[in-house]
Amino acid sequence: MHIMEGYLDPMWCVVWFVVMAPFFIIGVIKLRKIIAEHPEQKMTVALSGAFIFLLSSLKLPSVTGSSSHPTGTGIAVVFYGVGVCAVLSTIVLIFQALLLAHGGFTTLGANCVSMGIIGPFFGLLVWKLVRKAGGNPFISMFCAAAIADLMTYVVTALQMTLNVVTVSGADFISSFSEFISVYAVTQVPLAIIEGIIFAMFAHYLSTAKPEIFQIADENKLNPFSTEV
Amino acid sequence: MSEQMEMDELAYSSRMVNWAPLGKLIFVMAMLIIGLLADSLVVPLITFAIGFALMAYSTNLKIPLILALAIGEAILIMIIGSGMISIMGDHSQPALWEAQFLWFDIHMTEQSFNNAWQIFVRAVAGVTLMLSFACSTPIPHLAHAFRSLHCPNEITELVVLIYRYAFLLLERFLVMLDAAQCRLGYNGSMTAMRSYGGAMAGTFIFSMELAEKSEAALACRNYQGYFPIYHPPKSMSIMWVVVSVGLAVALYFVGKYTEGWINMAEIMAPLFGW
Repeated sequence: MHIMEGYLDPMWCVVWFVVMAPFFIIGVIKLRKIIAEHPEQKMTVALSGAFIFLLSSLKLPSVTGSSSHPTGTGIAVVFYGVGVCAVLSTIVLIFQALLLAHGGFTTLGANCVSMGIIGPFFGLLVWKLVRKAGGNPFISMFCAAAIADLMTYVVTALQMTLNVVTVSGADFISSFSEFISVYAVTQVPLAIIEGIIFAMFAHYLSTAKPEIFQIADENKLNPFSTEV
Repeated sequence: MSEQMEMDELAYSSRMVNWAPLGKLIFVMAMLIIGLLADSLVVPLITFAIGFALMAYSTNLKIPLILALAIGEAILIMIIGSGMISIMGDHSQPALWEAQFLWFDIHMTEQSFNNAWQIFVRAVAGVTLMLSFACSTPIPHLAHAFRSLHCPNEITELVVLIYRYAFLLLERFLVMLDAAQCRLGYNGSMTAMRSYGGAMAGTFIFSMELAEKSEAALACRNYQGYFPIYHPPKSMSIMWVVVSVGLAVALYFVGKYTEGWINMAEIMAPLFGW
């Protein structure tokens, strides 16, 4: 899903950085609060980031000019919220751009908006809805991880379409349907697999560390809430 | 040797390791941005040459295998992506190639073809520039640079921890995949999926154990949220800013002057018969 360096028009690079900035800043504030109030959470936060790095590095080339891979943001967003997920995703995206040529610096804003903000936001929304409907952690995590993954790709397809429409004058509807349909071939099965794997993690955690779901359920949906 | 050790060794043995990390970062960012702003293909070709020269100077082009494979895969993605841009041209312009393939409406124009080349060269230039930075800047140096910019300590700390843990998890994951292969774990698609799922779940459980152990280990060493550096890198001088901005401005004018010099559609015309 990472959009490669140099792909986006300078205008879109700036637009996506501007969209990303408030979420990133609020994420930093929230992260500092979490670490100050629960220092024992520091390693878990770092490992959530490392897990995002690991899963999102397992990429398959996609015909869209991007790639298909699990995003791994499901757990981070459920436990820490959208803001923290945006910060973790930004750090991971910088490492991937530097070390694996996966993504880029000028496309960092766009990649963070899709993988660290909007995708995880929908994941968290679904988590809340399914939990409210009485779903257990296994089912809730499956839905949250799969939706976070799918929405990430919907946003990436939209970002790439907007770029192609402004740069090459392509038709919006046909370009979007081409991008999204190509992604769907690889991403729908990947999202389901990611959902199952994260559901397995949730199942493990519900027996090994059940208290962690209490923290997750208290998490606010509003990304600008600084309450921990 | 592990990938992380290889990467660290590469960075510490680089000829550019003593250059100011922030200075290198500003230089790389200036080159990436100017490559993006220029409409001429000459500018990304120059930035590619600069990135490649820096990478060669920094590492003698000795790149760890895992990174070389990742870069190869990234370049494949770039080729496919540029190809995709080239076939999504403006329908109001005359087509160099028009076809229908599955649900794809192929309409390649001169503008979209040249644009695709521009993006491809920019992307490859970006890879060389970013790698020249990554291969010459150990992560503790980068963290030190962030601290000098008054970046919150928690973020700097997370940068270092995520880097360390990412490689540890990757190594553990690869070991589990090898173990699965030894047990004929890829015999059939269902078995392969189960093996991958098992390896991921195993890595996750390992990560939870690792978090507990690391916390205790760091606490035993009086860890206060800061990893000290005994040989701190040089601070950034004003010369870095002057050189980066100066070169970017020069490249901007080179881009203005050379706009339209290289027309890839014309160059490729004999090959494709346009």
